[in-house]
Amino acid sequence: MNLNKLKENIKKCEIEYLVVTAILFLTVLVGILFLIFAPKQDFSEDENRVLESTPKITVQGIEDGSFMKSIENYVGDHFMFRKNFVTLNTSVQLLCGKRDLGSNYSHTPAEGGVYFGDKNHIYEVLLPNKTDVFSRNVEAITRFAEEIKIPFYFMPVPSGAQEQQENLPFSAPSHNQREEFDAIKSKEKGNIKVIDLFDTLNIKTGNDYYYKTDHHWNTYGAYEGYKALVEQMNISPAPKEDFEFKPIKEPFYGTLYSKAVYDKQEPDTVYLPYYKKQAVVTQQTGKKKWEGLFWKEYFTKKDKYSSFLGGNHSVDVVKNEDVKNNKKLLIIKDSYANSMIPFLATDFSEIHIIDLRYYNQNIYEYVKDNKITDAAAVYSIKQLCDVSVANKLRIR
Amino acid sequence: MIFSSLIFMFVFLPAVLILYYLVPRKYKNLCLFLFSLVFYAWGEPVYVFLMLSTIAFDYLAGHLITKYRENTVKARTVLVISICINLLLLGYFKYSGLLVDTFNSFTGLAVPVPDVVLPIGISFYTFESLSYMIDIYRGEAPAQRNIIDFGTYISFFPHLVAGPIVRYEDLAAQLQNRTETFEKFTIGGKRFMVGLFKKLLLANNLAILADKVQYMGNPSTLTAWLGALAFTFQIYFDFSGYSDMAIGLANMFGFNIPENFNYPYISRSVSEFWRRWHITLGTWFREYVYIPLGGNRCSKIKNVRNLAIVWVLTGVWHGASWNFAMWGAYYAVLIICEKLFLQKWLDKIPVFFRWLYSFLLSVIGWVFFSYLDIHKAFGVVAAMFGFANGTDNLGIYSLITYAPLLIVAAFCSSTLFEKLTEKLRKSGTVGKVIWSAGFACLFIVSLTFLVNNTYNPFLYFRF
Repeated sequence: MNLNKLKENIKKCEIEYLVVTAILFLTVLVGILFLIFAPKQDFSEDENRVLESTPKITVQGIEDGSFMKSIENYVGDHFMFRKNFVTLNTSVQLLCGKRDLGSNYSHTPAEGGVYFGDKNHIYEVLLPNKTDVFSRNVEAITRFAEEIKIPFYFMPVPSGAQEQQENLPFSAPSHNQREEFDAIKSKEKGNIKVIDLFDTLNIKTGNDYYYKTDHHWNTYGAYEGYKALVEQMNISPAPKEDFEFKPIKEPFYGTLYSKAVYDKQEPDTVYLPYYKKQAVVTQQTGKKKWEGLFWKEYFTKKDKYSSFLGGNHSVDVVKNEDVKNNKKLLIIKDSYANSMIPFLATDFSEIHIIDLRYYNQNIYEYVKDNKITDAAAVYSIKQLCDVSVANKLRIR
Repeated sequence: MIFSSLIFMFVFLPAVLILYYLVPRKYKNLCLFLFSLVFYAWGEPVYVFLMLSTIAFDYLAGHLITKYRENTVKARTVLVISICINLLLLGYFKYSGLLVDTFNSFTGLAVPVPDVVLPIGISFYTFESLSYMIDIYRGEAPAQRNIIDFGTYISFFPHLVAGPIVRYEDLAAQLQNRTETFEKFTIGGKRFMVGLFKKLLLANNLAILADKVQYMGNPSTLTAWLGALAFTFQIYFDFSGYSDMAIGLANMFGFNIPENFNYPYISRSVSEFWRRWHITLGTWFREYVYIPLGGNRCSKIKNVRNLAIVWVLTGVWHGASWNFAMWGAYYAVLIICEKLFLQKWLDKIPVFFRWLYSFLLSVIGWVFFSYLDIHKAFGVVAAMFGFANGTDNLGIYSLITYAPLLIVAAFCSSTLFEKLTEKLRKSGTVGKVIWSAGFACLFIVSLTFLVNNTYNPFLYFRF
């Protein structure tokens, strides 16, 4: 095709069509150049996952489709201005009137995403329970409690969305976690006590006990949980004044923020409770032992909630030599318990913390071998509905 | 691979375009054929061999039919055999699970249900193969001599996985002889982007509401309506968006393929709706089923029978589940009624009510289409007509948060939107600039949705 003919040809085009087609293919061109030449990130802190590395072509990979999948992921993970696009997307969706983002109802189990509530709060969208995970978990936990025959405290923790309903968007549907609580409460008998935190943590108390950008309770919420738990055990809780709540300097953007990255979101502050009176608390994880319960390496990372105990491990043992009562507490738990441990450590000489999601030993033997005197289950209700731990409590 | 994905737009499309325009004329179809195979193999590599054998078989059948042209019996035998084989393949891969399941539930037996994954696009390319052989048999188009050209017709990636269903007659000449021009290319580029907007901005977002209502179950009247409307618009923008992208892509390679949608929701009767909805499927059934059965040039009873056959088949074509058959039967009844008496009544009432009648019936139709469980579908329709609470939290919340999107969707599915934007585009320089800028903005926003799909916070993070 010679130049004149090309000109002639271009003249026939509708100029606007030419412009938008040019925009399309220029974007494609820039995108390709970016994919090829821009420096690559290995890890995305916002998503807490390793990004796809350069795909390797193998016959096997083509046959089972994993090669194709990995190219797709690679293009997505290293796309130009990825975070800007994601942030812009949140703004556009909010601008169009949406108040919940990041849902996926065609997926099993369904993902409800998050609500953008009042007072700069993000909340989990609580969905009605459609699986038997919850009932099997509760069944297994109560059976475990009956089997070990020591005082057992079951503390289901409601979500922020449950406790701060007035902050949810107008008329936003939110599953009532009372339903699950009542199911747990009905199991209360013998050595099992169920602790009700619904009124304690409610925003009607005038206090905000949850992070704005994270699904956990904040340190003050954890203190209330601690208080309720030890009061049930007839221990008088350490008063709040005995702790110095020191903020982590860097702002905290939690898991809910990660589900819908938004540039106008106010961050949270994580407070670490330092006990003013206490000498030395040690934490043992596997074979390693630390002094203190706060892990400094997380102070500067995105996941600041993991500053408490360094996140979740299969077993942590926290010892306080100042406490001479020889009480040994076992906690089976999810991450909600982590921020409660600094408070609990003031009342027990030993706390054995087991996260069943990572624990694969015989827990019944563990209780016997370590001469546990009291046991507690600290779980967020949402976690009990979503993740099965029942098989880890099987009697072997 | 789907068109509305980063991998398609930023890797596959530029690669195929560059190669296509670099290779000399006689290799252009080969280039398209090979890329189409890659496109097809992307999701399910094994089935590419199924498609290749279909292509080889039908190519051969086409030749035999031509060879036996003089001998009607032989030609007909070849035609019937090859139609049967094509339909058996479609039947095995698409319907065996459903049939065995149904057989088991009627007889109480436990015949093992075959575990076959549906090869993508098989419903589309089987129909295209059939149209090839029938067109040749009827002498409406000559058999394709070059197997690469034939393979290109069947596997051409723009229409491979979701139509439009292109009849061989429509594409035969273009396979040998077409000109790629800048004009066609830019029309195609714009058309592709329009499809992208429909899919990413409207369909995918409406899908969230439709899915949510289905997930929550037992809707109130308000919720049931919102869910049904969301699905009504979702499926239109999804499907017509995909057709737009297909037509636009075909244009970029110098092809013209037929239109598939023509504002179905402005129809004033159910029959008209089906002349505007998935046009190429309707044409296919008319050409290859309805008319051969005698169409309407026969007794009234036979005509009714023909309509019933065509619409139930149309329903079943959409998926291997009885709700689709039910949906087809629903349209069979409506269209037969219109043919027999309803149209005469409709002609007497004001235009608005005619529109309302056909729109409402299509919304109700989509309820049966979208709920695989027929009992639930009836529950939703009952809720829509008052047999449920009037409103609930979900209904009010969805109304508030989705009103803007639903209004935009309704606006875009009328002809008004197109008329206004075309007026703007043709109204001088300022109009052209505004139009182009608006278009560019929509493109950026669409990209944000595409990128957002790749953003997956790791599940265990929640711990």
